[in-house]
Formats: sequence, C-alpha cells, structure tokens
Amino acid sequence: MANILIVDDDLDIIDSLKMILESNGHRVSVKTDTDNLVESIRAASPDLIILDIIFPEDPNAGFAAARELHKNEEVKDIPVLLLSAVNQQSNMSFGFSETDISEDFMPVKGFIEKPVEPAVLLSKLNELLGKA
Amino acid sequence: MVNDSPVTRKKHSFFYNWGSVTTIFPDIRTQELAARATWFIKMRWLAILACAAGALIAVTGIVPADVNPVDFLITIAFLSLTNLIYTKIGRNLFGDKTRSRELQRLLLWQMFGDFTALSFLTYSLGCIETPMGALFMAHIILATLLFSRWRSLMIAAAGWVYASAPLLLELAGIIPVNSIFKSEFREAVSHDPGITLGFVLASGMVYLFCWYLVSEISSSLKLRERQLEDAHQMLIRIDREKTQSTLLATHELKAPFAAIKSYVYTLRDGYCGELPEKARAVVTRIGKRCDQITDRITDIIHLSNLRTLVVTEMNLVPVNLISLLCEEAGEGSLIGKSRNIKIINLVENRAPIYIMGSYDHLKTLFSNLIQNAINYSPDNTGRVVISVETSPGKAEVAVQDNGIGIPKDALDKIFNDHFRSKNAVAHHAGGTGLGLSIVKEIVVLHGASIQVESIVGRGSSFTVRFDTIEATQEKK
Repeated sequence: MANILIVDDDLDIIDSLKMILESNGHRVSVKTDTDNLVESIRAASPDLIILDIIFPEDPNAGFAAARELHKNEEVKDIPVLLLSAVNQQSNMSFGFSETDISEDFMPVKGFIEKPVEPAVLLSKLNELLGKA
Repeated sequence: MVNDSPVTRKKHSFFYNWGSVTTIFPDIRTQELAARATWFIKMRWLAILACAAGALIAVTGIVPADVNPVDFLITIAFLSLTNLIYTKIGRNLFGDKTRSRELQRLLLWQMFGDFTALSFLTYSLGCIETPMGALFMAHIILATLLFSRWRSLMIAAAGWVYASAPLLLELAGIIPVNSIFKSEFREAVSHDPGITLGFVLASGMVYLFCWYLVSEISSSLKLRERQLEDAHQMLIRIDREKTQSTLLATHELKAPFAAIKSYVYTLRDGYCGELPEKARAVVTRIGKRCDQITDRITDIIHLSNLRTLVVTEMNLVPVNLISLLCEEAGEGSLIGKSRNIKIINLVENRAPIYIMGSYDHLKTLFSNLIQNAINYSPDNTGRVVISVETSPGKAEVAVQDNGIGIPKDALDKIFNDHFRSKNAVAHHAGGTGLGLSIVKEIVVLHGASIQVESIVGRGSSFTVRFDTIEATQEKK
C-alpha cells in the first residue's frame, strides 16, 4: 500500500479521491494549494503525488509545480499524476490529455480526467507504482 | 509534422510564455531584406546581359556612337565577379533569420559595387550623353526603401558623387574627355566649369528631391507597418487572453459537475456502502444529467470560441483527411459497439488526401457528424458509411447513415443553435442541439461547404467539400 499526496483545491474531489484510495488501503495526505510543495512532500514522504492543474490563485500553478518538482533532485523521482477537468475529450482547441506529457511542457508520469472513474484511477496508480 | 513554436502550438503557448508574445516581425523584416538582396543579385545578372548586348552593339556599330566595347567587357567582368561574391556571402545569410545586420551590410556593398560600375560606365558612355543618371536614381530609390532615412540620404549623396565624378574629373583634366557623339554641347560642358558645376548641382538637386519624396512615402509606409505590427501583437495578446478566459470559464463551469460526477462514481461503485436498487437508479440518473450539462457547457463554449475565431488565428497545417477519418471511424466503432451499429469505413485504403486546416477543429467536425449518425441510427441494424470522392483540387467527404432521417421542413433549420427536430428528440433525448452548429462554424472557417440529403425513415447523408492541397507533410 502506498502513501499518496493529493494536491487539489476542490474539497469534494479530494473527498471522493480519499474514499477510493483509503478503501483500497492507501494512506492519503492532502494539500489544497501548491505553496511550499517540496516541504509538504518532505513531511508526507509520498510514493505518488496526484496534482491538479488549475488553482484559483494561478491557472498555471499545477504545471509550474510539476516543473519545479521535476527539477528538484530530492523529489523528482516521485511519480506525479496530473488531474484536470479541462481535458481533450471535448475535442476543443485547448485542454489537456496524456499525449501532452513531455519533458518541457508536462513533465509528469500520467494524466487523468475529472470526474475520476475509480477503476481508471486505481489502474493508473498501479501502473505508476509499478504494480500493473 | 509537430511544430513546437509558441505561436503555432497555440494551446501550449498559453502556458509556455505567458508574459512574452513571440516577436515574428524581425523575421519578416529580415526575410524582406533577404528577398530584396536575392532580387538585387538576380537583377544584376540581367544588367550583365544588357552590358553584353551593349558590347555587341558597339562591336557591330549599329548605333553611330564611339563606344569602346572593351569598357562593357570590363563592366561585365567586374559585375560578374562581385555578383558571385554576393551570392556566396548571401547563401550563408538568407537562411538565417537573425542576421538582419549582415544582410543590410551585404545590400550596402551591392549598392557601392554598382555605383562603381555605373560610374565607370557613365564615363565610358560619354557622361551626360546617355541617361545613366536614371540608373543611379533607381539605386537611390531602392536604398530609400531598404535603409533608414539617414543611411539612405548618405547613399543618395554617395550616388551623386559617383555619378558626377567622371564629369568633374574630366573638367579637372585628370581624365580625358570621352564623348561618344562628339557634339558641341558635350565639348562645352566638359570645358566650362560653370556649365559642368551647374549640371552637377542640378542633378544633385534632382537626386535630393527624389530621395525626399520617396523617403517621405517610405517613412509613412514604415509607420503603417509598425502600426500593423503593433495591432498584430495586440491581436495575439487578446487571443491568448481569450484562450485563458475560455479555459478558466470551462474549468469553473465544469469543475462542480466533475465533483458531483466523482461522487456519483463513488456511490455507484459502492465506496459509500451498498445502495438500494432505487437509489442506484437515481444516482445513475444524476450521473447522466451531469454528463448532459457538461456536454452542453462544452458545446456552448466551443461554439462561442469558434464564432470569435478568425482564420488568421487558426493553426492551419496540412491535414491528411484519410488518416483523420480513419481515426474518427475507429472512435465511432467503439461508440457504436454498445448499440451494435456498424461503422463502414470506405476510406481505409485510400492514398492520403491533404487539405489545409486545423487538425483539432476538423476532428471535431467529423466526430460530430459520425456521432450524430450513430445517435440517430437504429440499434442492431444501424450502418454508418464514411466515404471520400475526389476531383482535381477537391475532396468530398460523406457521412451517411440509415437512421431516422430529417423531415423536409426541418432541413433548413438543422444548423441553427439548439434546433432539434421532433423525431430527433423522440429518438435521442440527450442531444444539445449544438453539434451541427459547431459543424457549420468549422466548415465556414475552412472555406468548405456542406450539403445534406435526407429521407425520413431511410437515413441522412452529410457531404463536406474541401479544397485539397499538394502536400508531403501532415500534422499527425
């Protein structure tokens, strides 16, 4: 079972994620903004981070945080799973998908869409935690 | 072809360089300079040909003038040698968009090289006896268009000095008088300082006047160009702001429903304990309504986004229609599977057909048409056929179904926002009535056309006509 850090400003999303993850035996810590993220990671020692993209204070906060973590030697090996309600499913000219993952733009290990399907989330977690 | 430049990779640029708008204009200016330098070199080869013709005329003696053909040969040799040097230097510069200063220097060298050749030829052709001054004037006009106001004035002054030098040197007795028509007037000019200086000053005044006129027009054009650049930069900034606000609006509207739907999933999958049958049914219905609202939000924002989009903002790339249609047919097959509706893809083995378009928008266009065809086809016997017909320069993509069809009186309304015919509502309750409005906007943005044929109870066919291009690259 893994330590998972959820970084999201939406308390209802956090609540449903916690329900799914804790029911499957994972330990969950929560952070509702991206300030001092490295310190929070140090304190929680997560095996995986679930990170939202858009935060009220900055629509770019999730990406900025992902890039900051990617550059930090201490935490860069912890897999990051990005989460967003603005996804490519809608076929719009903006929005994000797994294909956007790249070293310079989206340096993370995975991407899932909100609303979070429990089965999709668990399968993604297993894949990233090396238990597929 | 994946283009990573912030300007073309629109959705990423929003996050990449939030504060900086990529300046494309210095590149355009440099490209313009490179184009002019290339053009100058090509024109010089024509001038060399003209000199060769001059030499031939001098040798044959068709024109009763005392012209030494050797002078033409010297000019040809000089111009050919310098032009080869310019070509060699230019080859390294033309491809490099950052070397505007070097390109200006190359153009300057070309100006002075030409002035030298023209000065020599002016003397050889009897100074004032032939209209060589016009060629100096042409160079001065070009300099005024290509260089800054003060630099072009310096070039105009240099041109005047080069043009007047033979006459002044003759007057000073440094070089012998060279008259090709042996006229009395020419003799008088060469030996009378008053006439010579008057002629030189008058030509200087004409050069100056020409420089002033052209530089005034050129300055005004450059000002307009700068204003256009500013306006374009502002459009790019506004477009980014619009993309940001659309993105945030989408997020703000969709996020609450995403949270509700996440709760629906946790309830459905038993994370809050087992639900009674009735409660499960209610939860499922809540989930479906959430999906409908989310779809509606997406469609409304998408439509408003398309309506405020101008063609220049679109990321137009060569798109292979065939691979895009195959992709959409594949996705359609997955959607149709649950209702046993077959997607018959007749384009699978076709050679690529390219059009200029926005990949994302074209994907939406065909996704909407195929999704509609599936939605309004009968379970188990439904068939959706995707085909392409081509004629020179054109491609017609047809999405045909054997569904409920569209009543005749509804055919002219189906592209209106929120319109849904009665039989459509009865067959498929969940539609937003915006799918075909989005299709219409995308068709218009691509300069394409769409035609609908339908028979109630037998099916519909939507045909989109595009202009094709010859292309070897595709975006995806």
